Amino acid sequence: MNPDMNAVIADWREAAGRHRKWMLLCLAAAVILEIWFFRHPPRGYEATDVVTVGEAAGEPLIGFAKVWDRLINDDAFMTDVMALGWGPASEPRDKILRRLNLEVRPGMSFRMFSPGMAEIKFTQGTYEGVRPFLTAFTKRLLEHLRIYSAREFEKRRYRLGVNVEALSRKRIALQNMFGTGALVTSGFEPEDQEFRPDPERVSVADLASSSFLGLAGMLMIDTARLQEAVTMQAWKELTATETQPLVLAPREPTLLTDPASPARLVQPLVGLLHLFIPIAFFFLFLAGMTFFESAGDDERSAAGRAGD
Amino acid sequence: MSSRTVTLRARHRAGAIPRWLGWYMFLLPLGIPILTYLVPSDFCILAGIAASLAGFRRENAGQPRLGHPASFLLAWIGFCFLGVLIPDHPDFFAFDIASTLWVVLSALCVRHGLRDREGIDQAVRELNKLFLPLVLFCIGGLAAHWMGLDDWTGGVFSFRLYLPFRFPILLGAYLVAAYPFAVIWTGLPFKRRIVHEILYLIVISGIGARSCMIVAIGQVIWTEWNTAQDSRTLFPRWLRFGVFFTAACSAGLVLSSEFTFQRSLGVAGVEAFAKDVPRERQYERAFDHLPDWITGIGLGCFKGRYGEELHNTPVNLLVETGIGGLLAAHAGLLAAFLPLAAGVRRMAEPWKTRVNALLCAGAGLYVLGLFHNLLRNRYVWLVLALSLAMSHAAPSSRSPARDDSPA
Repeated sequence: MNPDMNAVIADWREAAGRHRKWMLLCLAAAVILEIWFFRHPPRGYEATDVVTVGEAAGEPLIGFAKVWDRLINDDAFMTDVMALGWGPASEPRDKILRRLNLEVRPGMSFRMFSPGMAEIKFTQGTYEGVRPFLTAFTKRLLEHLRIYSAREFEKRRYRLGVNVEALSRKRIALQNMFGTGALVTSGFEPEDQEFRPDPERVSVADLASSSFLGLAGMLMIDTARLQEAVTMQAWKELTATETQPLVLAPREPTLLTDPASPARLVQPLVGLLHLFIPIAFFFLFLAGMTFFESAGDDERSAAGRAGD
Repeated sequence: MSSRTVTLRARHRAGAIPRWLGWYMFLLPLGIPILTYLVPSDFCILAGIAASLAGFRRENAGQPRLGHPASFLLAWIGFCFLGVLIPDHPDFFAFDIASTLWVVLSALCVRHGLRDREGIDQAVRELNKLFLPLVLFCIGGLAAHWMGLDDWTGGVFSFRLYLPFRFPILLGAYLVAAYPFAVIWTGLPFKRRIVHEILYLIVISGIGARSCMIVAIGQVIWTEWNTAQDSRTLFPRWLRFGVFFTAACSAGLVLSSEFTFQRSLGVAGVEAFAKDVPRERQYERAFDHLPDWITGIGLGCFKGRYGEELHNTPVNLLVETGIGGLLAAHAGLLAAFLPLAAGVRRMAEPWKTRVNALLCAGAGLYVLGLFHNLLRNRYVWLVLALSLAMSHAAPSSRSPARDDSPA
């Protein structure tokens, strides 16, 4: 190192030594800010859960947003969840509600991956309590979703069952009305794997020899049979119990993610802040040091002028 | 070694400026980047940095006494590193901090290269060399536009009418910064001054920015209000003020509504005097970050988050560098300009007029900065460097009497 550079370093070191209090103040502020950002990283921690809403025949049984709005605005429900997640609070009710409104509700959000799948997110300033609260919330939410979706499923099942019955009765009534003389095509059953549409099954000659009434009856019975088959198909889809289609679209609301997955930082690169805080306070220290040195020079020159 | 010594010694001659600084000032109006953010004049700064470092080592031996403005500048740089959104947008932060440090370094080099007032005058004269050619070039572009060049070229040429800059507002910032030096600093006689003012207003109208036009009108009025040349004998001051106020405002209104060609061509997408929806949106977003105003969100992070800059420099400082950054930046500005403003009345001509020009440029850029983000604008930092140099520069040792002589 050449002598000039040594002199520069010595000068700055000497000046820094003259402002130890300022140096300590900057150091203390930097340490405090480091600890603060370590405890309360900007944008905080988040935990997410992914749930299926519950589907039947490819359609969600309930609207998730509606349930969310209902529950998130329910003070009793939310305070119950807080008690479940964080343990019973000894604080007065107004403080719990204040915390609910200022910290919990703003930190809750969801987005739909698909009509039947939602991601629930909970964000808080500190690590503790994020996961327990979300786990409790998801648990209670799933309970509600199960109740609502089971009720909706029963409703749909009943509606469809009644519809199938009515259509069957209509078809049978038509068959009886037109009697055995009417041309009745053989029925299609969804379970019939061998079934292939066969337009040649009824010959043109047979149709030509039929009466007008017979033909009209055939058309009406075919229409009723078609409606019955479609409704029956929907019924079978609604009440299917095979596991394979239910893996993709489970009927019952389910939590897909592991509730043990820990909360994570919202900003993955938050370590950058811990790197920049010392740099920032180094500049602030330099700023203060040069400021005090300049002020000292001004005072000395003013004193010199007064002495003259 | 010997050549460097010769260069450094030559610089100490009164009124002489380093060669790199002369070229820097001369090339500064050419604002098209040729390498990412770097414009041609920036390459002169590289030479300047080497020369300044050598000079700093030889002459100052590292004395940590940089003056109050530099202290506030250092504090502001410190606050730039505190930002809660930096981890989200490290790329934007890196670009902005690097480019900001670059313009700060450029300003420090310019400041270091200017030792006496004659040197400052020489540097400003270098800057002025391209002012009139550039204004005439822009008027040529405007005339070509009015004559239908856009139709003939299918609109291909229209977006280049703000050459030699990348964006219209950069041309505006250059004109606002350079006009006081070209007209007030040089003490132009009445007729030439009027011609310059008219040309200035016409070119400013072409930028299509309301803020530029407002600042230009203010600068023209400032020029006439403070000019101590021949016009004083023709009219009383109040009459001059009235006439120029009316004339400048009328010209501004007429030119703004009729010839704001950038906007009329749809480049900006809005009418010149329409409601400013983008800025309202930016202010709403700035207020969304109210809890972050303590440390700021980090330099460049507003653009990183929203894809657009906040078009108000002080508010941008507040949002990106926090309350500390805003206060430090303004304390630095005050420390740079207040001594000049306080001492201008006691100065003799021509320096009184010249300081007036400097204050006019500084005020103009500050007002323009209320409508645009000029944090990394080279002319802002140039004016700051010139004001610092002017505050600390000794009067020329070549001819002390010259300070008091009229221009």
